Amino acid sequence: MKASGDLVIGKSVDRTCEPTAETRRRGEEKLEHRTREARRHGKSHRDGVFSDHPITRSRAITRSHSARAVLKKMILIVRATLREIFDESAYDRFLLRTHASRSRASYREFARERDAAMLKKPGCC
Amino acid sequence: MKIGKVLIWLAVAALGALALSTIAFHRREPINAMWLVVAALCSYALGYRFYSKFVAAKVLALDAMRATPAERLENGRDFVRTNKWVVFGHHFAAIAGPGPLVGPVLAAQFGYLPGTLWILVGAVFAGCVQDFVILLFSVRRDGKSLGQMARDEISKTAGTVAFISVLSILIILLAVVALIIVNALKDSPWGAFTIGMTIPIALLMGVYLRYLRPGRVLEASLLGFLLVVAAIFGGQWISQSTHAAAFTFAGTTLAILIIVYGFAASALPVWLLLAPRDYLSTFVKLGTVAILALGIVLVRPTLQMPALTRFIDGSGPVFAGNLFPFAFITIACGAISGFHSLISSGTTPKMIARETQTRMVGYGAMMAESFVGIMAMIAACTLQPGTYLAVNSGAGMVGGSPTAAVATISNWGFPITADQMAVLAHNVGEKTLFFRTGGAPAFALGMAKIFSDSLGGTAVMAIWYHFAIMFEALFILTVLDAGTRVARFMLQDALGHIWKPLGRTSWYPSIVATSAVTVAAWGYFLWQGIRDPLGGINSLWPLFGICNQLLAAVALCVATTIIVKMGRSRYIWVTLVPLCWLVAVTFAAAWHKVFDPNPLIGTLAHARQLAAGPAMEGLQRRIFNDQLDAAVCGLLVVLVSVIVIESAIQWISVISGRRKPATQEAPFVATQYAEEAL
Repeated sequence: MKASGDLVIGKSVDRTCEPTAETRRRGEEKLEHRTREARRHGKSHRDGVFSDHPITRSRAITRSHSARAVLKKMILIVRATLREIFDESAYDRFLLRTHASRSRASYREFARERDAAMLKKPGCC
Repeated sequence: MKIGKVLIWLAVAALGALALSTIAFHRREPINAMWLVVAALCSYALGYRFYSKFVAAKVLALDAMRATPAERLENGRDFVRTNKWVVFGHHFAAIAGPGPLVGPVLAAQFGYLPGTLWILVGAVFAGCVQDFVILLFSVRRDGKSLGQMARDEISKTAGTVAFISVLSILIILLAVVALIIVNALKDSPWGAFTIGMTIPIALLMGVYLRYLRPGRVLEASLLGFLLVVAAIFGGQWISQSTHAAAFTFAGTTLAILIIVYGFAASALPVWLLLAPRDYLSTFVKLGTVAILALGIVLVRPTLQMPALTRFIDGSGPVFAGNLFPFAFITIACGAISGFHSLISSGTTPKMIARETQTRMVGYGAMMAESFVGIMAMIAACTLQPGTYLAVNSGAGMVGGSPTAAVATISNWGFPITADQMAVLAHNVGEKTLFFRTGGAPAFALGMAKIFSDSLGGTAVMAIWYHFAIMFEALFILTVLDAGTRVARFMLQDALGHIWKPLGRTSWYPSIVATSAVTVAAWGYFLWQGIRDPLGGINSLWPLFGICNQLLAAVALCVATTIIVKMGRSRYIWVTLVPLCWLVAVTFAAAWHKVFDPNPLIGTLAHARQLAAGPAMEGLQRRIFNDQLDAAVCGLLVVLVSVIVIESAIQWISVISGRRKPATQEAPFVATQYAEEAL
């Protein structure tokens, strides 16, 4: 299943810990392995853009100064920001956390959890 | 620093100085709005590069090696490490509300200069600093709220004071924003229809998200936005049809409708109304702020308002009061807002991946909001001063009829005719634009002018005006329902200590009762504002400004106390100077609001004037309202005095060595992302 949280991006690297069953299921590997692979190809692991969340890793995008790459990165950041603001990433995290799939029932459960938080969240002046 | 960088920063400083001096000393002819934009961008760049870096390095000693709660307590729910740009956007969306749009518009009655300078200086040295330090201190305390930090770091009393301050500010805020929306929509079938339609649109979005396409929020928000745009065109059709009368409401009727809406929104399930409206509002907010910035850059409008007006002496018709202190409480969000400290100690600290990112998120997002305030100032000042005053002044301030109003305003040296106002009203699809206090219609007019100059001309000015009104009203209704719920939650939390079932957020009788109490509280102030012949804003906005800035004073007390306890007393001035300024401003404003002998400013003088005047309907109630405003103002000042004194005792005892400094920071844990930090 390709969760839309895959597009959450960031500059930080993933944890160095062993991958969880969930991350293994999603085809992710350990940082060291990835870094070793990257070095072999003459790149540092920092050249990649990864998810900050270990289970919502994004596609790696090679850092480049070309206008196209910068634009692509900006679009990804804007998209990730909008998905975070609009709770879409939160729903994806909920699905991963609860091992559920996208459905009315799971969204209802997610909404129940989110509504409790929203009760305490003031709209700013 | 390399010589090239030094030269670049010197150029930025020189450009900023040139822009600021043009704004400050250019008197004879109107200036271009781009000077304000350049001054703002240069000030923010310098403030961020140098001052925030100094605060980060010397005062707060940000530690990239220290694990944040998002890392240590990561649960995929509240605590989630998030990309810094994503947190920045999230935080900005959370702090940006109607405040930075309305405050600068109201303060424009003094001219563009005082408000602009306060927005820039206030943001760089106070507002951004407050947001930054509170965010960091919350991060170092596992995401604790401002109230919890006040209780832990100062005293239990301070925590209670913070709680009462937050509840009070919420009540006053809700009344003020409701008043703004009533004044924007009264006698406007177009506006009333469009805004009315946002309620079924939000309900539809709720159903869509729950049953049709679960979790597709962006999709639902886009759909909602398209429907809202359709509602704007529908409103135009309604206003020109025989159905117009059905959507033409007096202020009192609108007030009742909004009170009923507030109660319903508080008692209905969150997923059905609050959440989709929140999404829709955010969607429109981000888009509109972006296109407003683009519009200003494309049109580069000329400011028609002078740098300073005669109203700096306190005789302003928009709100009465001298430049000091009233300009500084009128513009809160945009310069410094206590409300932000609630967001900085709410969801944001739980998302920060690295301590060093608090600078960009806390300081940077507040700079972005400050720029929204500058844009609002530009929008208001692009209007002819006579138009601005005719729209923003209450009937009791400039005369009861349009003829009397234009005569009064023209006599002040701001020529305007009733015909000009009628043409303008016709261009924006309204019957009249007189006496629309609150700032929202004036902002919408300025925004419509900028938009129509860049796209479509006068022919589409009405559409842009109602788009702007819809944008503000959507904003405000979201604040209204979210704020009512939060106040209800806080009330339930407090009442739960008296009788447990009252604290249960799932027990319907408690939900209904506390919702009713909350709505009644802000509804009372709203009603008072609606019936006020001076326009309501004259009394309520300063009260709101005082509340908001007092909350900022509480936040700065907490921040100063923590800085002292961290052993960084030599940098105490970073938060102490803004705190002293805020205390001076708010206490002076409160003094004027309560005791000023001018009945237009002092509530007690106004009550005395009413008592000595002729008998009229509701006289006793109006006298009581004045006394109530004075009591609320006085109570808040006393409460904040308590917290300031308690904090000062802590500072003195720690600095003098009588007490061991002990903060409640979470213990240091090294980050697992150390390699990235290097």
